[in-house]
Amino acid sequence: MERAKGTVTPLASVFSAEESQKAAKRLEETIGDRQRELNWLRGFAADNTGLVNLVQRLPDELSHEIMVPFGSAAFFPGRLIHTNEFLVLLGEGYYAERSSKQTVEILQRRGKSLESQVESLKATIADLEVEAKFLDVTAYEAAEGVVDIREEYVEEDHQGTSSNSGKPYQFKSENMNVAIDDEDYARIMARMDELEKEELAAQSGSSDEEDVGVDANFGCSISKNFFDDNDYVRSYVLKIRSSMNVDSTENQIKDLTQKLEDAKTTYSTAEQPSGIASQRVPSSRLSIGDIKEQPGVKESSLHEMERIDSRKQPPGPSEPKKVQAVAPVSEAFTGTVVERSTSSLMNQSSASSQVSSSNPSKPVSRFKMQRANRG
Amino acid sequence: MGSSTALKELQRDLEVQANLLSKLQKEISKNHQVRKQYTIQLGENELVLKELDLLKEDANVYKLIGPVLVKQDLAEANANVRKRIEYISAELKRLDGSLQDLEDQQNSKKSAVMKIQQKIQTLQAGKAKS
Amino acid sequence: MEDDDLLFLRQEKVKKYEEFVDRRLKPDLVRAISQRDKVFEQQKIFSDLKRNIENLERNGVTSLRSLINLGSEVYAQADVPDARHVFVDIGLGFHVEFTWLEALDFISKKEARLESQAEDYTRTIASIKAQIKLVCAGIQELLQIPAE
Repeated sequence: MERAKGTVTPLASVFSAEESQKAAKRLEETIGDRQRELNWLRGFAADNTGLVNLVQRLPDELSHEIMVPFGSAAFFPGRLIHTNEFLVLLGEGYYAERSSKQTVEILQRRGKSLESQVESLKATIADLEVEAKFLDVTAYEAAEGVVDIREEYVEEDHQGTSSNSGKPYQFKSENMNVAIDDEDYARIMARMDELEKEELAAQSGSSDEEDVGVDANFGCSISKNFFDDNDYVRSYVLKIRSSMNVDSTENQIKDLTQKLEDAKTTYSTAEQPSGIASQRVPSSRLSIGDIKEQPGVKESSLHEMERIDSRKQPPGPSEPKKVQAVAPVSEAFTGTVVERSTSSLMNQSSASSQVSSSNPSKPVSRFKMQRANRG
Repeated sequence: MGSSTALKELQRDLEVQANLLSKLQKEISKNHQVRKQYTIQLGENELVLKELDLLKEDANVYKLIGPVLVKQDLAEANANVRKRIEYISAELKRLDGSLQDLEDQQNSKKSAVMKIQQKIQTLQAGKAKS
Repeated sequence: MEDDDLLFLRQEKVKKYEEFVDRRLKPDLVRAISQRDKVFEQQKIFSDLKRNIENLERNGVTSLRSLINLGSEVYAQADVPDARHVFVDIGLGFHVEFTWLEALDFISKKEARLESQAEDYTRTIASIKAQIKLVCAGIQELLQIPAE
């Protein structure tokens, strides 16, 4: 704000209302075309499914009484024979003799490709619709005399605030590779958080599986209250660090690092989200994986776990801009952003504290389970 | 008088160039069309190849030639489709090359037309003054 | 002033005529042509059928096998044990069982009918085309463009 850098342009000078409207209209037409194309494809897909059913059913009988077409204006009464033999056009004039089953396979392959075409067309239409909406809004705004204010964005140095507590906070400004390098670190941090949570949980004295849900909430509320203050996070982390060295859970940690490695391999092959997500996702994976390894854990609690995980994960989007690039993971995050989004929006430091806090909130419950199992 | 003949000359020139330009544009759109067709064919052939690859060696394969289904050797059919794909790919590459060429030509023609238009304008302006 | 009025009136008239050509005559023409195309298609279908039946007759075929398209270019084999009777589409969704002779008789009648339909459409098309030309000439006159 101190710097008077920036420009103010009336929107109408960039996009004239009339032009935008015209463009919007053109877009509408394109959307209509695509929609027709989509319906056409869907018709194909439906035909295909129908045919699959027919081809599957035909060999049920040795022959079927039908009217055999003779040209397109005449029929002979006759029957289908060799009902398990089909001649299928592969394209380009090539036909192959196939059994019912093989024909169905071919048709299903075709169906899949149709399906993907439908999907991509749908995506295109969605894109176009967004564009059309944008144009509509722009046209409206241009007509209303809205101005476009631009100011140069100078990125603030966040490392200063988080240098003590370490690398996780750099994630957002660093590229993917670094983020992944830092993952182990992030997980260890997460693990430490977990351990801390376990202590807290132990104090609260709840220890059976029933508590999983409660516990998760507990973790959540902790993060809400505790992590608003960045300084607290730092000291908190440091505390866990030191506790890690002396803690009797050394074996557990060893065990953990192994699992971290495992999780990392799954993770790095599966998805490569940007920093923030990378911290969260693996840890949640880890937690699920862990539980599954526990022989004594009941199925139901496992489900419970997963449910909680998916519920807990949403806090991720508290920094939507950074997570946006993370297409593969995004599904896990699309749900409720509710719980902490407000606090995260408050300022940068609280947002970055979310980073570490969102982690422990899930694993805590996992830990719970472990303990419940032990006890 | 001299300027008006010059103007006429330029206008004729402009017409010629504009015609050439529109010819080029037609060729470009033709190129696009042909390429579209080839791309579709390429897709179809690749699909055929995929399916042929999935067939066992003893499967019966036919090709429709005119109104007649002719039995084909699977290996032969496979080779034919591959050859066809190669041909189409080469053709597509060639089309890409010629499209590039045409677009370059189009751009130079466009600037030529613009230059002539500018000349005409300055001439007309000069005339209006005098 | 009068000239201006006249000019205006004339322009209005031209506009009306143009609208008549674009909104009325041209769509009519398109429709007539597509209907005639349909008739041509029918003609082809029946001449094919005729040829096929004549073929059966010549070769004394009493049973036959064919491949029928189940859709999406998947074919299955069909057997016709008795090909001496054929069901022919007589329109409106009705199929009548004919012997070959009866079928050929019907086809020749149908063909005659299609022929006259096609002629009708051809005449209609010609007259619409003529009207379009006429109106265009009228517009030309109104605009005082010398006819070529």
